[in-house]
Amino acid sequence: MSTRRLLFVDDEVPILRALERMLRVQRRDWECHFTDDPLRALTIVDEVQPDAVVSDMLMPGLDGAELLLEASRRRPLLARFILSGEVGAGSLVRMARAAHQCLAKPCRGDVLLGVLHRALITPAPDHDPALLRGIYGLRSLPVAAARVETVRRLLARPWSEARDRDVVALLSGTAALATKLLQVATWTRLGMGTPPAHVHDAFFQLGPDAVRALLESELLTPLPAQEATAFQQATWRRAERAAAATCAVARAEALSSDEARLAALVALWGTSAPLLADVSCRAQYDAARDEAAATAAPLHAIERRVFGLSAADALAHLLQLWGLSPAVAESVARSDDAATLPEIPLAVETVAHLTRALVDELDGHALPESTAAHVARVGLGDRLDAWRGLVARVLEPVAA
Amino acid sequence: MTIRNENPTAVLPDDARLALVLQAVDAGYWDWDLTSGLVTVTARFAELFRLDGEGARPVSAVFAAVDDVDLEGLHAAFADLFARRAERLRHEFAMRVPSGDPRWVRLRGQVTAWSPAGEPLRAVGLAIDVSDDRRRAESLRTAHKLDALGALAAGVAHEINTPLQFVSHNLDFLASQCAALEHGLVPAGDDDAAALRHELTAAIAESIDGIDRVTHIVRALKEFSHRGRTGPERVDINQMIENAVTLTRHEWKLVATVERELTPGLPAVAAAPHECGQLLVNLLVNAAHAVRAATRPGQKGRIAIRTSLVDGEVEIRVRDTGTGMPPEVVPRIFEPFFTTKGVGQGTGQGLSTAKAIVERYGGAISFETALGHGTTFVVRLPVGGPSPARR
Repeated sequence: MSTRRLLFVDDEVPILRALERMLRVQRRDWECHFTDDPLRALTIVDEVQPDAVVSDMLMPGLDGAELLLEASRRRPLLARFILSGEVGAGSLVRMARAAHQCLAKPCRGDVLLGVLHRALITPAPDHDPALLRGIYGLRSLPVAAARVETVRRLLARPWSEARDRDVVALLSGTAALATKLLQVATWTRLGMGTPPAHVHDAFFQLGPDAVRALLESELLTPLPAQEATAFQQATWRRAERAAAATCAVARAEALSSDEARLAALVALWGTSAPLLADVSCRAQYDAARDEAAATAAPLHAIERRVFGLSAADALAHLLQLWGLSPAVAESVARSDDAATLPEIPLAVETVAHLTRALVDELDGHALPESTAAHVARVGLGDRLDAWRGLVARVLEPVAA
Repeated sequence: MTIRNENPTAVLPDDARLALVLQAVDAGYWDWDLTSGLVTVTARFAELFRLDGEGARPVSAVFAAVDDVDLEGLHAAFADLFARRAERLRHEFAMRVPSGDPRWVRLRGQVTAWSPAGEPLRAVGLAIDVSDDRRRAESLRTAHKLDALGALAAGVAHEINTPLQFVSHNLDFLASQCAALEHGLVPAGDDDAAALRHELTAAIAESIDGIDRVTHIVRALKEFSHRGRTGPERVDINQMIENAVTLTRHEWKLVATVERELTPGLPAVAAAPHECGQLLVNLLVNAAHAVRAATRPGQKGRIAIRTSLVDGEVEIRVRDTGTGMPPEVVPRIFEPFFTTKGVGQGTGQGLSTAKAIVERYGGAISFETALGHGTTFVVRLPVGGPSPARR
């Protein structure tokens, strides 16, 4: 792998010197640059073309958010991090708009190294930079404005358990909202304790008021109905159905409620991944989908041929860049292709993958051969009909 | 006794109307005939003053009922009224109640008849129980104190996080080098070895600096904290300024340089340390905000703090190169809740609190301001104190 280049910006020189020492262990693979001057940092971005920037927030001249926004204009394929001792939530929205991830000072060295490692791993050696370039600039996954408004209105009602249950259900069925919620809940833990594993935990950790503020913030880019394409609307619907059905199947198979929520999240993200390829490289992706429909070849295989990586791989990479659990991101990547599923019948990836396929089957798409083969291999054959029945009961079939 | 008038449209005689209004605002009425020395009061007034029923009685009987902490203040208020130094009587005082919290009574009134020689003949007015208002104001003050503390705490946490961050990374580095040493991995070339030795020494030295920074902040916080003692102590103003500068660093570091010109060996001031701390923090935060509003991004203004002994008092001057104040703002800046800052940026309590603290210790606060050039606050505090130095 080629040498990766990193830039660290902080107006406190002792922090830069300590970072430099800590990063010595990486000096074979990483070329690190340091500056205490945010304006100088922009020159370094031009000269060095770094792969990642880690910046402090409060600095004289240019703050971290301004610096990262300008840096991303100059170099789109740039992983952007804020490392700040800011405690209040006041500037969180500004930081989160500019950075892929916000880390709180003090941040342990091993945590920081892990975050940088994951961001700097290229998802595929010969990928098409166009896809990644597209997703590096995304603030959030595409989401329907009407959905954001529905949740916001619901949250404006007086509190009741039923209200919170409905809100969590809507959030759990909307990939953009689920992602943003988990992201912010992870950041606001200030590096302490375990981050929330699923939407349910994230909602109750942040609380209704913070979630409402989030929905009204500029961290989301809601699409009005007339701007959303038919493909986006179909994908939103498919993802929501896949998540709900997966949760039901996982519970019926007596997985714990945490595992069931996790499986639903994996199904949600897995089915939402095409939105990324669609947003970044629409024409190429339309052609890839037409090809998949015409040849019955698996879409992920065509994605890999065209882009060098599948949409699910790209989303998994983005989720890690956004600071979400690497384990979940890996599950999303593995659950897309039957060939990469774990050989465990009730692994969350398997439940998510198979339930997604059954939802598609209900909508008139035959179970892919590779999926059927995996079902036979892990001995889930005798469960298949029960799952099929359950999925049909949970979802009303879509009128063709 | 409750007065009722069941017919909503009836035209009432004046007396009945007055009685209804007095009842509606829960006020007691007093009417002092200075020629006879008799005061006529209503039942509610008698109740407030714990007198024996409504009616007329000598004024001395009324004053005797006031078992007040501040009886002199009440006499002075009437003296001002009768000597025409005040047009109206406005006085609040606390009355001890046999059990429970003191009862706060507000007296309002006016002289309604004067003799040709200018002697007061008759005065009338109201008495109202304002204990609830007092309690609300008190809890508001407490809430504000906590608010200011919270704002300071966020900045202080930020200032502690920075050294923690680099101490932690330096320790990571030292740990990895120790591990390398154990595995016999030492740098090959002499140059590398020398560079590494230099880095090891620097990592330790900078970590110690970082620990010192945290210690400094924590010590300043400790000296500002309420130690449960009531009443003033002997306070070293110069030391308090150092502490306030340390604790407010987050507020000014991006927008200003802070210069100190502290006269050594100043006599101690008698004050409660936490109040003294709050006074200085408020002045510094105020200066930082003024400078921030006046300074373009990337440039820095100046805050200069000077202490000296003037006419036997300690004088603190806090000068900023901030916005200065427009003339219409000048008369109002010490008013509680008066703020020129946007919602969520200032509570409008900083300077009024500062003034209250200074005056509590017999000092004075004033300022000079030039619009577009900055403001200087001047605080004078009397030296000495009731107790000998204890440290």
